[in-house]
Amino acid sequence: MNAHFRPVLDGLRPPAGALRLALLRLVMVVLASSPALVTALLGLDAGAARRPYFTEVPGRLPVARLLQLARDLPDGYAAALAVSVVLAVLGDQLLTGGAVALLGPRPPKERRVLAVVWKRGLTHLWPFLRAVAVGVILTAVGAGLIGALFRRLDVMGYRAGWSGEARALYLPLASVGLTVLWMAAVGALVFWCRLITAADGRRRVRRTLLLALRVFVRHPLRSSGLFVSSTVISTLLPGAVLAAWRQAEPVRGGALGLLLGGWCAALCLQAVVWIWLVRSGWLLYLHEGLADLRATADAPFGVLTWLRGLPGKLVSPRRAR
Amino acid sequence: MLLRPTRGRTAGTFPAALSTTRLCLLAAACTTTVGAPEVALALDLPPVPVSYRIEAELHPDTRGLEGKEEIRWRNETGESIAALPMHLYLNGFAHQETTWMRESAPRRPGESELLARNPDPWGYMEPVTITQRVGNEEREVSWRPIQPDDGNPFDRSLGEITLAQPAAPGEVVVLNVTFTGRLPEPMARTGGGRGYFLVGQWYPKIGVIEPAGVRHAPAARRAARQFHGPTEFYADFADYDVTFATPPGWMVGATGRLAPPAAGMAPRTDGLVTARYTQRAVIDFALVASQHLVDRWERHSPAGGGPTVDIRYMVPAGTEHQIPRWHQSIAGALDVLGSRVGPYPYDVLTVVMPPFWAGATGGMEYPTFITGGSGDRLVDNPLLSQVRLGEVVNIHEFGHQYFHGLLASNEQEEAFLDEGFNSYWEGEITRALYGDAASLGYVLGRRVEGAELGALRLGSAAETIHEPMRKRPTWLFEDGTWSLQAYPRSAVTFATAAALFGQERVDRVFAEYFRRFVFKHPDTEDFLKVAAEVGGAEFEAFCREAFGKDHLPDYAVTDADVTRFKVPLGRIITAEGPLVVTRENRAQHAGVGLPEEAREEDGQVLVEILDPGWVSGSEERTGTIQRVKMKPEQLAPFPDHRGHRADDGHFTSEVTITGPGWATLPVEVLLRFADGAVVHDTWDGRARWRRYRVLRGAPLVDARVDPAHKIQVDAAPQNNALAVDADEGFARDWGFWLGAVAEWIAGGASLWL
Ligand SMILES: [Zn+2]
Repeated sequence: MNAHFRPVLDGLRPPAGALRLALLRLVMVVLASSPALVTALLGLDAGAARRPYFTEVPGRLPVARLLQLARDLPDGYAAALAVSVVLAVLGDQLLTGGAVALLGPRPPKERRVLAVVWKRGLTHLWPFLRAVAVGVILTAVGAGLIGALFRRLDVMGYRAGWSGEARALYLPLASVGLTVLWMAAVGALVFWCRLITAADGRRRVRRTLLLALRVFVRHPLRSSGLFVSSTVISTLLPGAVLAAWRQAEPVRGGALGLLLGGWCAALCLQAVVWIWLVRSGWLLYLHEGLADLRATADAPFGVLTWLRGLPGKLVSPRRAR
Repeated sequence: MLLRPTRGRTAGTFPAALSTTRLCLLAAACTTTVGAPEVALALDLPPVPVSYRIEAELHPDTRGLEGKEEIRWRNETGESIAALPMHLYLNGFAHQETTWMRESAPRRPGESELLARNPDPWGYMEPVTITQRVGNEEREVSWRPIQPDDGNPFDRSLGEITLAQPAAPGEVVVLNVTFTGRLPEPMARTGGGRGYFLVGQWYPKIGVIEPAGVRHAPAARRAARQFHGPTEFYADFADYDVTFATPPGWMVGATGRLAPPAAGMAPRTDGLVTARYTQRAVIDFALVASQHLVDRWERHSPAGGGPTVDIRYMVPAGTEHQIPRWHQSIAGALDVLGSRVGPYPYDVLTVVMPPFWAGATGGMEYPTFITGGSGDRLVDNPLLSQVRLGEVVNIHEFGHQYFHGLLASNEQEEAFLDEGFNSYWEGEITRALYGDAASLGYVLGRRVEGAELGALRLGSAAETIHEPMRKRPTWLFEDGTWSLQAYPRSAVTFATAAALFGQERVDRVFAEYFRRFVFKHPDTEDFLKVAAEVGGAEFEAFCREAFGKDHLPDYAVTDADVTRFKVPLGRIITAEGPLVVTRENRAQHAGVGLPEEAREEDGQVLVEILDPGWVSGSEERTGTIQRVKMKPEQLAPFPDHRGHRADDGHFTSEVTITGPGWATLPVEVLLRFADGAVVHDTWDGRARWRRYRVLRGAPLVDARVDPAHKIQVDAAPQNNALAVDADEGFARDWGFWLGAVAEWIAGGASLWL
């Protein structure tokens, strides 16, 4: 591998339009989440914020009142949150299609970011959504397996007399940590699958997923390693801001502005990291060492055809006898 | 108040050490307790109708128990008794279709988990032989399992011994029982394995036959029940003399005190080591045997008097440093209950902190022997070290020495008399020891208040409660509600009583209830009688209603609105004659249609009160609308109040409150106005709702029912006050945060999908 091949570092040097793309992603996340934000603000205004039981507590809400507030969350907040997630995932599919086009080696003549995102996003939407479906299934299966594994570990711990600290604290924490890593790993696969799909204009998701895996095998750190580490960090960081926000309770006036600023910075970071991932992914994929992958035909495996022919194959030899 | 010493006859006459703990000395030969202190003062405990002399051995490898017992049961029923009920509690753990297993299904580990922990988790108990001493003869008697509660043919948790010769009134029946059994994998306060056994409910035990008058029984009646999932035990007081054998190297702790080996007992030749424990006048006997526990002795003289108590802490090795925390909680509980309810009459207490894996044996009360939370490093972890989880369990289980242990009410029939009363005292003790603000400590810097958490637990399930707390039996409460009925409901009931009638009055009632009924098996009516005599008619009426209502009360402010006063349109009679007000001329007639009282020249606020009326049984009140002048309390104005300026015209403020329709729960209502005026009203709370309407020169800021939060039994304290306008700061803080959480989740999901 030549010494000048530095996709991860070169990915940090953004081409034209990258900043606007990052901004667009930030706006997309905020807009997609706006149903939950509006529901929360309006609901609180009519509900808990009129109850002195919550509003007159000096300092942090005691545990019992915090739990009560969670029970009294505005009607529809949970539903709005679910809608927000669906909208954000859909928005991300369009954005990724556009980003791969804009940040690639042959950017389209059309320079209006929004128009490119809309056009290219729609072009790849169907294979992208199928990749997302695979991601959802893999995440669920993995989380289920991790859950089962830790339940078995807990029983093992019970039989071996492990401490409560190990069983009630470290095991659940490890289980959560592992689930997060698994989600990020699945995220890396789905991301690379979409990158390759958009880069080569592929339609066969199953074959593309295998190509993504082959990229992971050849360049584990630059592909999945970079994705998992950067997304975990850029997700945990805003999580830390949210936690600090609640620990600073009650947040009023200037402090609220400061935290909102911190929150926006965390979201910006997330958007910039995403640009970096797309750009460095492209640079990696363009590397001559992966040319054979790029040359792989976008052909179906023919599993369904094979399955359809299976009864005939099973019957005919017998007939021959 | 000291317990009046009452000396009396105990059933039978056998061991000297049994009739008084005075003779209880250190058994120097015994290897199982090291450093046990000198025996404290002797006790005078009442005569009891039953005694047990048990010799048993534990086989740790098989969890097996073998034993024999001599039971002396004195017939105090006043009738001839031909058959005795006999508890075989360990049979509750025999298989999946026992009554205990069926009823505990929602709470105990499921089939897969149970079997994953141990493919053979089951326990059982079978009498091998039972004989009755008739004259000098030992006559064999028969027994059979009975299921008086549910007819479950697979349940053998209760048996019936048919006596060879019926027992005449006053006669002592002497039974000799040999038994074999097996402890389950740790489950519901008993069981063990792998170097630790909590030996509870472990021997054939005679069930209760209540004499006429006890718990208001019209005639002698059998009160023994099968072993049920939701409730625990009911037993006669008995004297115990237990010699328990384990392999060498096992530490044993038990109810009562270590005693020298019984006279005439042959030394064992099978290599097992014995420990003999005796205790007078207790309702049960439990032991712990372990290879991994260590013990420490402490001594405490309770504030309320009574004997100095030797307290033995038995904890997993490596957690000894936590003992000072446990001792602070136990000594505090002894002090609070001793000084406010009555003295602890025993001079010994064993506190076991089980290892975490055997946590199912924790949190249990046996007489002079309790199991607390797990003794574990978890307690020291910085995340949890500020929460008093272990302390609160200790305090609760110690409280049971009084509420159940010494009063011995029937827990299967009326669990709230022990679990509920005890939950109230658990709250009192934690608050006395650790303060009101955060009696249970802190989690991530947030206060954890026991009473608030209990009320929240109860209130969040308030819609599921449709039965009175005092309903019998407790094990037949609606699904998922028995623990709410048995624990927090009476805790918040008494907290309410203390706020309404004064702490001192509640304490006096409890002290008298304890004095009068210690060792006597009281029931709900017994308590209510004391409540009436000592607490007064109002107090008793409140308790009776709170115990007997089929729903929890909830006061709420459902509406608090302000509208600016406008001159009414239409034909209005004024001092100058009729005036037709139209939209066009309205501005020229400011003040027309405004009642004189709204100007409040006499300093009084005119309040229009709508009471819709009510019907309750034979009582009835017709609804009314009354206009009442009230003298407001004057506080500082609320200058920064949003929307309405105090000097800017007149405002109609309307408040609707709702209530539970209880008869004994009057409540204070408070209306606060922007000019600092505060109107106080008292509502008897009998109608289901009530409305206030006030027209004055300042708008309403907020309305509150029960502003001092006296009514802690209120199912939803958060709705007891309502502001006209939202607290903008709060709404922004939480609204943006919840929005940010949504962004975080949506952003994360879109990054990974
Ligand atoms: Zn309890």
